[in-house]
Amino acid sequence: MTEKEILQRALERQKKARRIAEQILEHKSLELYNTAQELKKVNHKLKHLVEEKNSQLKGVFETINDAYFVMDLDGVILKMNDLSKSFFGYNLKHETVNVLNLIYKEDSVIKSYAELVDKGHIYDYNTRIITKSKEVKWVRINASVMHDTANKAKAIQVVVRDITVQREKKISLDIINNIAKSILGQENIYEMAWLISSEVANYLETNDCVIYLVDNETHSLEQIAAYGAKISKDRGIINKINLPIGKGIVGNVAKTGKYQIIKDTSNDKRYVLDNELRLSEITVPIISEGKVIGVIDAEHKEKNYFKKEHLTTLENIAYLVAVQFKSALNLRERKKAEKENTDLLKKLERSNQELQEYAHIVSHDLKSPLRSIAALTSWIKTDNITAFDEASLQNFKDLDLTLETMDTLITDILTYASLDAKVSEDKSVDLDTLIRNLINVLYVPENISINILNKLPVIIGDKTKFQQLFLNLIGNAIKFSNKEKGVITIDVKDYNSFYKFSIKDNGIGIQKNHFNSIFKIFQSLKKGKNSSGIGLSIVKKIVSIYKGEIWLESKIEKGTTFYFTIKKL
Amino acid sequence: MLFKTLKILLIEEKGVEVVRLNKAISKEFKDYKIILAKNGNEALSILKSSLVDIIITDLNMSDPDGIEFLSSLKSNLKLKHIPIIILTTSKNDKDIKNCYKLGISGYLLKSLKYEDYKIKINTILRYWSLNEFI
Repeated sequence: MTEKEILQRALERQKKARRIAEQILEHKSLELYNTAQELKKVNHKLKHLVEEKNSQLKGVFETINDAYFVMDLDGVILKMNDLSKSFFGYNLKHETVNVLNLIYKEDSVIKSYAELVDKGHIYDYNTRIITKSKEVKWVRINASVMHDTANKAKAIQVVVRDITVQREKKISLDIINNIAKSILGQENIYEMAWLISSEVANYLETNDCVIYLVDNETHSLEQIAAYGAKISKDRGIINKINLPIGKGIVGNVAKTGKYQIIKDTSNDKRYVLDNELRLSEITVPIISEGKVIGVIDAEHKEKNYFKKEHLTTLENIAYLVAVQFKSALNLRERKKAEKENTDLLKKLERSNQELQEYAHIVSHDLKSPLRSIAALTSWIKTDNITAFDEASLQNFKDLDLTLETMDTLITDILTYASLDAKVSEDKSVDLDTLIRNLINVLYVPENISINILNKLPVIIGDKTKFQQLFLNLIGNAIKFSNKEKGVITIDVKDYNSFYKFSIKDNGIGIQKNHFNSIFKIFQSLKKGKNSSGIGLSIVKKIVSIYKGEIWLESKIEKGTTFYFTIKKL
Repeated sequence: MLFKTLKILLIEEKGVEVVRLNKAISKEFKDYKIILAKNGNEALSILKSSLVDIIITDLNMSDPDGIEFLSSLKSNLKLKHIPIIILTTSKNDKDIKNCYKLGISGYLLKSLKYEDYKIKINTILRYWSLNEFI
């Protein structure tokens, strides 16, 4: 290859390279142009946005629902919105305001201020401030540091929300909740009162709260719980005051049932000095069913300390306490009554048992001599049978009858007295079988027929008692039959929770004015042979043991129907 | 029919009742023998020296009372096999139950009517006369 050829080739390469470089350059410059255009657009947009934001901010400043102000780094307020003006009560046109002077003296803000400067913002910081009119308010503060173009801290913007009411509501709710929780189910009203006095004192941020209880007997108020200097170490009340109703502010509230807020007790003649003079007093009655049953009383050393919100809360507490006091008192009464009941039951059970044993012994002691008399008279009679005339023999018969009646009487009294005793466990008793057997055993004269209309049920209970029940009723029906053809009808009707039995006869009937008295012990309308007059009393007692009722329908000379119910178990 | 000669221990404090029982026993029982005890303690000391075929006892007694007396009889290995018949004036379900639990052989009420009483006494004697004894 010649030198020229070599040079030519090199030139070609160079040309080619330049062409490529030109192409790249062209491409890049187009890109650059595009970017510039893009940037211009964005810039424009941004500018627009900033304007928008600025105007928005201006709008916010004027229309924001919270107090808003801007202050310099020393705390001097530079600018504030209308809400701020009315909230704090200052007008920047006439005065200079430093935020540090607004802060409630007991709330230290230095730490939070440092945090604000350090981080550049502070969110939801709660503190108290004092307005120009010396009102203390709870506020929630959100603040951020504003910077200039050189990113140097320039000012601080602050949004202040008044949370006084909200906070009070919450505190009020909290304390009511607390009290409700701690006194719920509490039976001891003294314990309850202690809880309440300390909760209330806490809530009111005072060191004096006393709970009084109305003593209706002495017509006075007793201090039952206290918070503060009045408590001794063992939780007794030092220098306990008994206040007659009507005396002092507390006595007055107890009398009228109306609350009192005393702004300055030194101007109130009713004020009763307890352990220390305190200038503010709030007194709320505890009212249950229209009667003052107690009083909540709190004092504070500063004048004009208690507010309407305090009253609302205390009234709510008083309401709650009234309800709980009442139920505690009720519970106490009920427990007392329950105990009395149990004691009474035990006593009753004991005396019942004693009565039965007693009845048993008496019955034996009465029956024994009867037997002896019966034996002795019968021996006299048989030994001297030829010596007695008709009249004497009749007298012997009457004597026997009298002895028998007396014996039945004693047996029936014993039965009646023993009915309450539960000798055996309840079992199912087939009344159908029981009554058919009973009829077989009973002496039924031939002119009397006994019909059972429906199959009698199987019921749960004491077999002996059912026997006594039906024996007495059927026995009566037979005894008082006076018709040529006596008809006794037994029937039953099945109801949901009970059976209704009826025993109907066509005998002599019972006068209406005797309907009630026949069930009373020793009341027999026609005391016949073997009639003690206790039979229907036994019947009634058995029916009532099975939670039933007994009644009758009757017409003289037509007959009587006894109805009774037995509760299903 | 020939009845066995029964040896009966009767515990009864009332003289009239003793006479009544003796009078009530029918002529058919010729050779029965009644040993009388006025109370539980007396009965127990009699039983120490001589055994009987059956015991007829009132339940109403004191120290020991009827139930206590029955218990001591039934807890005594030498005596517990002897049939005991209660012959008393009154009853309650509790007593009857307790007596049967203790192992009595009968519970009779002294009827007021002498005729009824006689039937009861003679039925009992007839029944036990038919039984075998050791």
